Amino acid sequence: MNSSPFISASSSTRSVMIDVIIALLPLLVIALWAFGERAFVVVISCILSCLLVNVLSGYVILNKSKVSMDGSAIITGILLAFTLSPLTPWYVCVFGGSMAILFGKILWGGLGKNRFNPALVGREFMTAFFPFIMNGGSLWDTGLYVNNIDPGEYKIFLSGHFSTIIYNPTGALGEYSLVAISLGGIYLLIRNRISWHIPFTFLVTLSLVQSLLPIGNTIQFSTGGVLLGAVFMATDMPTSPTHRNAKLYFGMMLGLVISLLLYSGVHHVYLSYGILIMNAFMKQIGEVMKPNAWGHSFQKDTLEKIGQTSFHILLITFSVISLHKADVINWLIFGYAGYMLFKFYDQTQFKTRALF
Amino acid sequence: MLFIPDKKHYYKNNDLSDFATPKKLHMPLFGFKSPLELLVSKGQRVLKYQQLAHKEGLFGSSVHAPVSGVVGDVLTIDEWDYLEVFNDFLNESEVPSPMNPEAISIPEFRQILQGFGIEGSGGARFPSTAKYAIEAGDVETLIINGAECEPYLMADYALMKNYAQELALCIAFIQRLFKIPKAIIGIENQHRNLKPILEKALTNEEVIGGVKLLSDFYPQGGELQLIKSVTGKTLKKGSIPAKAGVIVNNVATIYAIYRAVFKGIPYTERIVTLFDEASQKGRNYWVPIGMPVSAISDHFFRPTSEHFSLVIGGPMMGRSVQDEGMAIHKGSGGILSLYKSSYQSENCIGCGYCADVCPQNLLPMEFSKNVEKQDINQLQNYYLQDCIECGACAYICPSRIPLVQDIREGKRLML
Repeated sequence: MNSSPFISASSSTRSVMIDVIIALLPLLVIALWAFGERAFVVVISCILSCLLVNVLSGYVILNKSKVSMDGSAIITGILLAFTLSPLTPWYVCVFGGSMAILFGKILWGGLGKNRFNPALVGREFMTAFFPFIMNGGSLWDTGLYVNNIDPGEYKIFLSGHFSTIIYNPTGALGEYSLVAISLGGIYLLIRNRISWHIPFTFLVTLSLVQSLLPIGNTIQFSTGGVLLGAVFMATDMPTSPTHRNAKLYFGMMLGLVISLLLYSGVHHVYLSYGILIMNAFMKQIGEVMKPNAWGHSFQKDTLEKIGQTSFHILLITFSVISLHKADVINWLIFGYAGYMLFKFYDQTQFKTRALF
Repeated sequence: MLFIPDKKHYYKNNDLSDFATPKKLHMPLFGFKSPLELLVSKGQRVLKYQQLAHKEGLFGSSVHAPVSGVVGDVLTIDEWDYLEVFNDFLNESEVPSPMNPEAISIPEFRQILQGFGIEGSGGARFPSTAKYAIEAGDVETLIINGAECEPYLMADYALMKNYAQELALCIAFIQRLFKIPKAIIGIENQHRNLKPILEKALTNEEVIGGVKLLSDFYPQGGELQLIKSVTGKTLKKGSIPAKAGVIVNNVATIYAIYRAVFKGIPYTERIVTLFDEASQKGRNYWVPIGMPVSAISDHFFRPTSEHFSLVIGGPMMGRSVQDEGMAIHKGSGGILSLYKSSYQSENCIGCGYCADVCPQNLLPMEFSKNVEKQDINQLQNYYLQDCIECGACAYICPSRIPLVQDIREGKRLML
């Protein structure tokens, strides 16, 4: 390197990814503890398919002589598994993992260039291509298989009940322990791998809307799922804004969008929808909310731009709600897949032309 | 905010030494953004302190011979011109003419600054004549920059430790001449052991002001950041500090002014930190301006190999040595031999660390993306011109994106 600076900090993309994996470990332990081999099959089929597709498609599509083993594919695999039921068939998991990497990351140009959270993209593909399995009621009927702990064995808890904050095995694999999610979040905060802005504004907005206009009992709402989304999904580095102002706004709007989805009666998938919608606006938010440079004053048209962006976000949210009600979200996914393939085809055509 | 482990403890308390004057010097013939005009010809004998080249005007400066000897050729090394001076080791000098500091007027002071080749010693080499294009009463605060925020560099530290009295004398003189109500020496918290030494000297010379301890964050020594830390004023890049009632001088510049005004000696030598990462050895030396890197590296550094690179200046903002004929100029506080990094740059992962550490509140990751797209409008939109090239963003980037290189490229595109 012939350009300054001639020294650098010790962290690398790999060390960032390793920290995220460490933060996910307690959750992994809880998930495996709750559902044993069933959880293991789901997790391992997600991770292995992500890793394999990452290496293969990286070789073929990105044409890199050395495929990056930075650990991001493992994270995508774990996060995908965490949004699934422990009873999800392994081949559906493998499909989801492959699609997460292919359509969530590689076709965009690899790590960091993707616009949408790969794990959530993978999950949407699973729902679109295996609707009967993914939407079937039996998938979430997990009561029979769960490893229920005898409260008597755990004398630390004076009430005799295994506190639901520590262990509450209902819903998707990553939602079983609020304490484990929080521990992971605190670790990421200490290591500066996430900042407090998105989780904080997201959770505050959501609870504010909730307390002002409480959602009825009929609507399913998983605290574990929301916390998992706030700590691990919404804060995903490539698909969330990079600076404080934008993060604050991103978290706030995410809270609003998710509230809207909940009120409109969108079950189970409200988190994926909400985060994916906000992912789509990540770039625009980053630009609109950009900080004023040192010594510069507030730009007058900023408020107007924020208003416009908010309007766009709400518009898209209502469109998604309508599509969901009309039961045609899967067509949106097929459209996305088609668009990504066309974009890739178009770019490679261009490259070939440039070569000759 | 960025904190860089500075590793200065290796040689913090080592005393100052003189470096053996070399047989041949390479006098820099480039001033602030413009070349100097030669006053001597090849083969001519020059005396120590004799003026070799100069430039008139507001941004004018000059360069003087640090030794007596014979003038050689003008060499072009890595795009810059240097004048060869062959040392005859006779050390015959022009007799410095003593002045009475109390009788010097403001225009005379500016003449001295230009005629004695005084310029900013912190790296930017801004001519002091232009900086002092002010009248008495224009400025409220004189800030003396002793922050030296670059890791490894300890030249200013050694100067403040060993020459506090001389610095105070000069500060008092400037304060009287321009009727400046307050003079503050800013030093980083990690150098707080200097505070009593400096305070005592300032009191002795009846300077109105004092020493301010500053946070150790990088780049504390950046002019705009220092002004903010000392006065609370946030100045836009490109604005003239004097218009906001502030003037900032590096401690080494103050010392050069002291020598000119009180001793009649032009700016011909400075303290330089030499640091060798392989042996973890570092020390401060008095070195003549024009000392070629080769003369130093032969004596000080382990044999340079492909694993090491030599750097003139600090590790954050310095320049890599392409040719060992490059020489110490008035803005270089160090010569370092550092391990070459072997990292490959990867895609931006959007971690935002660069935005977190940017002292100018900019978004460096956007510069890289838009330089790649050659989108000049967006570069402007993200205030590229406000970047001070401190390198904090590239230092912290986990993807090892050469952000400073991209930023310089972007500035070229915008021209």
